[in-house]
Amino acid sequence: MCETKGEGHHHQHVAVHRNVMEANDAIATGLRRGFSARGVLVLNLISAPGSGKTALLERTLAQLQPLRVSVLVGDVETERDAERLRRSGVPAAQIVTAGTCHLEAGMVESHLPDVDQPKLDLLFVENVGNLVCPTAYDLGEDAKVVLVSTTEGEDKPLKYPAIFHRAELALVTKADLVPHLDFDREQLLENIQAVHPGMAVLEVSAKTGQGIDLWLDWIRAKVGEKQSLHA
Amino acid sequence: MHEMSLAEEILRIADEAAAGAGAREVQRVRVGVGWLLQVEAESLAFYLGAMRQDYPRLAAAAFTLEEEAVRVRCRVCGQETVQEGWGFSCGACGARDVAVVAGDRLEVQDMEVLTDDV
Ligand SMILES: Nc1nc2c(ncn2[C@@H]2O[C@H](COP(=O)(O)OP(=O)(O)O)[C@@H](O)[C@H]2O)c(=O)[nH]1
Ligand SMILES: [Mg+2]
Ligand SMILES: [Zn+2]
Repeated sequence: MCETKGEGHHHQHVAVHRNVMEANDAIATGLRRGFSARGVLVLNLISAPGSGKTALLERTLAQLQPLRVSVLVGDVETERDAERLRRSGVPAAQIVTAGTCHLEAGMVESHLPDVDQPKLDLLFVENVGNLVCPTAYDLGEDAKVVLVSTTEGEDKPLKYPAIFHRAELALVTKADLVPHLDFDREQLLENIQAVHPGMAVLEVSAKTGQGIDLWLDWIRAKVGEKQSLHA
Repeated sequence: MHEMSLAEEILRIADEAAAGAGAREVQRVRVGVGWLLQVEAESLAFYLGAMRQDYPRLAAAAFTLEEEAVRVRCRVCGQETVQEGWGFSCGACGARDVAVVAGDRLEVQDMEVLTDDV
């Protein structure tokens, strides 16, 4: 700290070096500790709007029985997604962010009681449709899963490298549409590997069920891993 | 909208640090902006300018946003290099097995403040 004398005041240099995400990260750390103590796996689903997060969950939820699953879903305005998901028979609650383009750890903390259940195995968090903002906010999850649909173009990973780099798994959704599209599958897979070498990728369709078994296997393996750590 | 939440946090942290240092007035705040966060600097600067009025100590503060390049450390050759372009790879040997060591954080770095003489 250097100081210089002035007229009745000091100029002072103050070193701060504080992470702007510190408040969010502190809550996320608390959530993660709580989930770990209970052996609850938390998956944070991130994609552009309309990539098929809700449709994939609708396909997935019923098939995960007997696992106990709950869902929190973020949306800028509406309650529609949670209503869709409750039809699968699992507790689901909407977090309406009133314009905010991402979920924050505090929102998960305050809405968790809406969907919590005894002996919960798995919590899905469907984030707000956006590939930039949600990436920076830790929600206490075990893994981020990024979805990119076959209709979005092969350069998505290059335009949004941060989320592809941070996510553990990439799901290429709407695989059923490929025959109708001018979609360069090899290029997309190559771009994913460029930003995240060795990244796990699954190609799925919520419409036909293609690839869903592999996705379910991936989830069950993660749940097993988490519970063995807890036991 | 992301930038508005970030601006709120920057102001909160700067004001807390200023209070801790016994500052009367903050003149300048330096913020490091990691490239990987894809923050829109113009938008962040706009919100900082608009919202600093809520904090008397920060009402006249200038905010310097310094973009921080992404640096990666290679797990193959051990070198640390600045990341250029999109894909993540080692600038020395080209290996893709790298870890990000800088450019993924948003940080309030330091400030110039005025304190009253005692
Ligand atoms: N053909 C096809 N359409 C899909 C698939 N998954 C989602 N969609 C459609 O894509 C649109 C957006 O899906 P939604 O799940 O709401 O996306 P979200 O915004 O990511 O939750 C809807 O019209 C879905 O019917 C899929 O696997 N195949
Ligand atoms: Mg949805
Ligand atoms: Zn190297």
